[in-house]
Amino acid sequence: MPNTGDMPVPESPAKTRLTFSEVQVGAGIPRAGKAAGNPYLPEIATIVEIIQETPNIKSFRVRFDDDLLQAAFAFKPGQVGQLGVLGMGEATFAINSSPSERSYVQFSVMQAGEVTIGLHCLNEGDKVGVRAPMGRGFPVEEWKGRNLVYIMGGIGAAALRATILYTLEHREDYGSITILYGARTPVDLTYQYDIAEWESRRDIDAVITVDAPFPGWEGRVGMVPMVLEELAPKPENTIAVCCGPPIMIKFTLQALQRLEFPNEQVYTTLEKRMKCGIGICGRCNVGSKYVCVDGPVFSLAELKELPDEL
Amino acid sequence: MSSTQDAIREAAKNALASGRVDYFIGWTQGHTPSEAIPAFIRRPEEVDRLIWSPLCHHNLVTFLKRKMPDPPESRIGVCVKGCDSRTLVALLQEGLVDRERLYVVGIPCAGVIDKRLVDALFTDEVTEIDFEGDLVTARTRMGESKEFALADVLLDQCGGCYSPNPRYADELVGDTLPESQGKPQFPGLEEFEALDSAAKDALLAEAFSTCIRCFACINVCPVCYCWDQCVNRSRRPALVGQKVDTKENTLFQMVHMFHVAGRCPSCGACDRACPVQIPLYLLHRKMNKELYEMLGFMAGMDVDEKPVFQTFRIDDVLGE
Amino acid sequence: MRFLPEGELAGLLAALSQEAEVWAPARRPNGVVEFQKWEPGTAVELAVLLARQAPKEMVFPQTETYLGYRYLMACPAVRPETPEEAKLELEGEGGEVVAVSPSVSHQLLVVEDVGGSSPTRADVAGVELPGTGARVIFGLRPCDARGFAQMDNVFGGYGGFYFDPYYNARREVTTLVAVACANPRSTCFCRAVGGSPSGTEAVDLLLTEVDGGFGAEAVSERGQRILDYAGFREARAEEEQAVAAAHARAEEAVEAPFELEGVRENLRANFEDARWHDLALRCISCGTCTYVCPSCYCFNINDEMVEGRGERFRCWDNCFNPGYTLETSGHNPRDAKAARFRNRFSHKFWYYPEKYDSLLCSGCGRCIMHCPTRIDIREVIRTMGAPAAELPARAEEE
Repeated sequence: MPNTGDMPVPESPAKTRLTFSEVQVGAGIPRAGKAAGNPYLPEIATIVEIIQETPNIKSFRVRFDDDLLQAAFAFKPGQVGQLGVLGMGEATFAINSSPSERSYVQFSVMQAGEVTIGLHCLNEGDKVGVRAPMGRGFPVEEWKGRNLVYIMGGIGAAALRATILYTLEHREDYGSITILYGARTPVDLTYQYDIAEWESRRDIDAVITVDAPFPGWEGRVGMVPMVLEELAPKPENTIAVCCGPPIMIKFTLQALQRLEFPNEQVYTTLEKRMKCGIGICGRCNVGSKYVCVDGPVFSLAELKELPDEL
Repeated sequence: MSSTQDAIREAAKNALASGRVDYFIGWTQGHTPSEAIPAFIRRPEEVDRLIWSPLCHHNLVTFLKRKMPDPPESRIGVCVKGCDSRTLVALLQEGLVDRERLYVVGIPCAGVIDKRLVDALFTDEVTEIDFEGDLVTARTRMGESKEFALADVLLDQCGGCYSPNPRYADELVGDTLPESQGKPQFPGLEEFEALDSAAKDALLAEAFSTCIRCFACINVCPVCYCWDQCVNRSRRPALVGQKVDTKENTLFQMVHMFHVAGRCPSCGACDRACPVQIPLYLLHRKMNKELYEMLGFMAGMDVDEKPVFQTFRIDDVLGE
Repeated sequence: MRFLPEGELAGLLAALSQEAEVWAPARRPNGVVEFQKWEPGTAVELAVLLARQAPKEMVFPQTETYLGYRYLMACPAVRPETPEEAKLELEGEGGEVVAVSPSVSHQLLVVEDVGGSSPTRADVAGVELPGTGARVIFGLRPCDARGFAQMDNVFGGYGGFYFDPYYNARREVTTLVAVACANPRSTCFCRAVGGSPSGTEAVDLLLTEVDGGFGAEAVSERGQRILDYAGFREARAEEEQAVAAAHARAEEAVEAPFELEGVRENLRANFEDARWHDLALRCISCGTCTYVCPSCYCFNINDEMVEGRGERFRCWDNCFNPGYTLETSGHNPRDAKAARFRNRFSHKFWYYPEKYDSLLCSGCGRCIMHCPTRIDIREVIRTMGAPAAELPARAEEE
């Protein structure tokens, strides 16, 4: 059965446990991975293209070996997937291709730990395992008619790219769109191919900044939170979406507070160590919320309700 | 015994009242009077919770190793028995604890009870153990009671204890015991040593087949100081398999044994902590016996001594 | 009520083992009582109240393989088979080869269900007690059985979450024959968490030991079928009375060391309270409490590969493991021992209840009995589950 990308929390969840017979007839159980209903088994996919985004970030465009699955693969912007190398394990990454892209699924990977080093060793044509989509995406339907401000730092752009592409494809559904993207140096800016397009479009504001002056960089210089305060977006009817390193998120949230954005209008994504990706194995909890199924997207209002254990 | 207990309380009270330590670690009664457990005392008026009896088996040095003190920079008072002190000495030899932050109360120890031996005498739960001289009385929840000699239920290692008196302390309480004469004892190995190597393998495989990898042995071990980043759990490099099966369990225990060799004085904390009663003493005691017989080395005897694996003498003779 | 005369116990187990694998508490050579596979001649140990570990491993094994795979290196000396030969060999091992990929840097074969350790739905479809893989866990206690009920929610898709095929494949063919507790221990507190020494939650058949045998009450249809065994007879009036008296006696013997009401709210209110640090000082941050627990269920997923052959598997993990929440960046939200300590109790009495509408503790007390330093969950809940104002002041705050 093709994956529909349903959210794991339906409106009126069944308050009983299920049996195999119920699962067999398809009781609306969201599942990642094999159609047999085993959410732990990855789908095998082939790397069709690798893009060296920055010195330590590569984007992998992968295609499911099962053509039917590839054709039917659907997800909501902001959802994540487990990308893995058999033998090295798997890790959670945001799906950052556009939801309308039918020919491949894109993940961006910064080389950091065991799994990511394994991924960086791969070539085009190699096999990976994918379990996706997982988790809760951004409520892009609810945002219709609103102004959007995307605030991203470094690899944080990976978490928002799918959402940006989606809202740009449905440009008429949204008010003004601002993209503020910063990185330590120009070399650390991912998605140069998008940036060029964003900067050329007249129906959006794209502001690209780097932390400090850099030889050859003629663009804006300044930390993302400071540039944000200079831009000073108005909170009225506006959604602010931010993602980046923890320190950048911290100062960005403070800046948004000074700009008087209510917590309900601020969204971010959490990163946690994850294993099962389906809300069972236990490690990604913040209070009773499991980032893998209840997140990774949270509004600031939701985060304030959670125990302080980020 | 009670005078030792009073002296511990007095020492704790002074250390806390004078601000020399942030908290004091001793022993107190567990949830039934059949057990003693570690006690962490923060206020002088709480020192009466501290006890001293042959039930006080915990090696409190464990709570000094990295990532255990809370807050991390705490100044800590701690009680040590003879064997406990040798684990502390081993840590001090390698600079793994900061001596300036410690206040060590040493207690000469004539042996502690092996609660497993007492439990094995009853079907029902033992909830009370009393001492009168060398006589031990154990009672169960249903009221059954038995008496026996203290010597019969001591840990096997206590019988021929080589270091009943602390090898290191800032203050000594209680009466010093006669130092052991002659050679250190490594009891309980004869049967194992008599086996041929296939039989040894079989015995260890049987013992480790029930290991559940709870890490109690490693975390409770006072000299296993990198417990929180244990190579047994590391995935980079992935040296020890995470599958819980006899082969990987054996490797897991061997890694522990080799890593603490030279620091381990066979205090037996791992053995007593094991929830599935794996005879861990076999490994560690055997290793220590080898170190003694090959190199004349005993762990944690003297703060100024160098640990065995940090020295090399041209006349070191390995084996025959 | 039915009655099983003492002498019929071995006969019953033998009859059950004709149709299912029977697991019962028995002594190991080293004296430790553990659930073991029953065979004729195995002495069932019921006098010791609780087996060392809860029987969760029969349904949720400590290590479970998800899938196997093999890399073929382009070096004939090391790996002489062709992909086709390797495929045949792997299929011969019972796996289904789902991908063969000659590619630039490696050749990969993916094989599912290696070694037959991971059940598929086909194994359990329509299987009832007699049949492949059927199991009877005999002699577990009502608290052990409740542990299954609590894990069932997590693995069974309660609240619209994911359904775990591995757990459920075993769970659905497992019958629980519990024996009511005659002699609760000082560490038992099932009543405080809404259980009972003669509780029947998740139990199929409840036996109660009385003079001369066992009173038997079926709780489910599966339990009812066991009563068909010819060794059962109708209980006499005095036997029924003896059963009722045994239940009442045990009920009275279990202490209720804390009140549940308000615990969840107070844990939330006390989240930042410094007393967590005091309580955690004694903790050595091992996982003993979680591995002997009938309801702790957290796990890790690992890949391991030797000479091109690898497996992806899960194995038990626990929130006391310092690396459990360590993120790739090096940040660890529960780096402090006290934070990990707080998580276990909060999970059992706050997080789980919020998600699954019940508790993740059945009061067996194993975590107290087997903790190397006897951390006492009752003391923790009494302290941190109480309103902050009622707590004794902490030294620094005076």
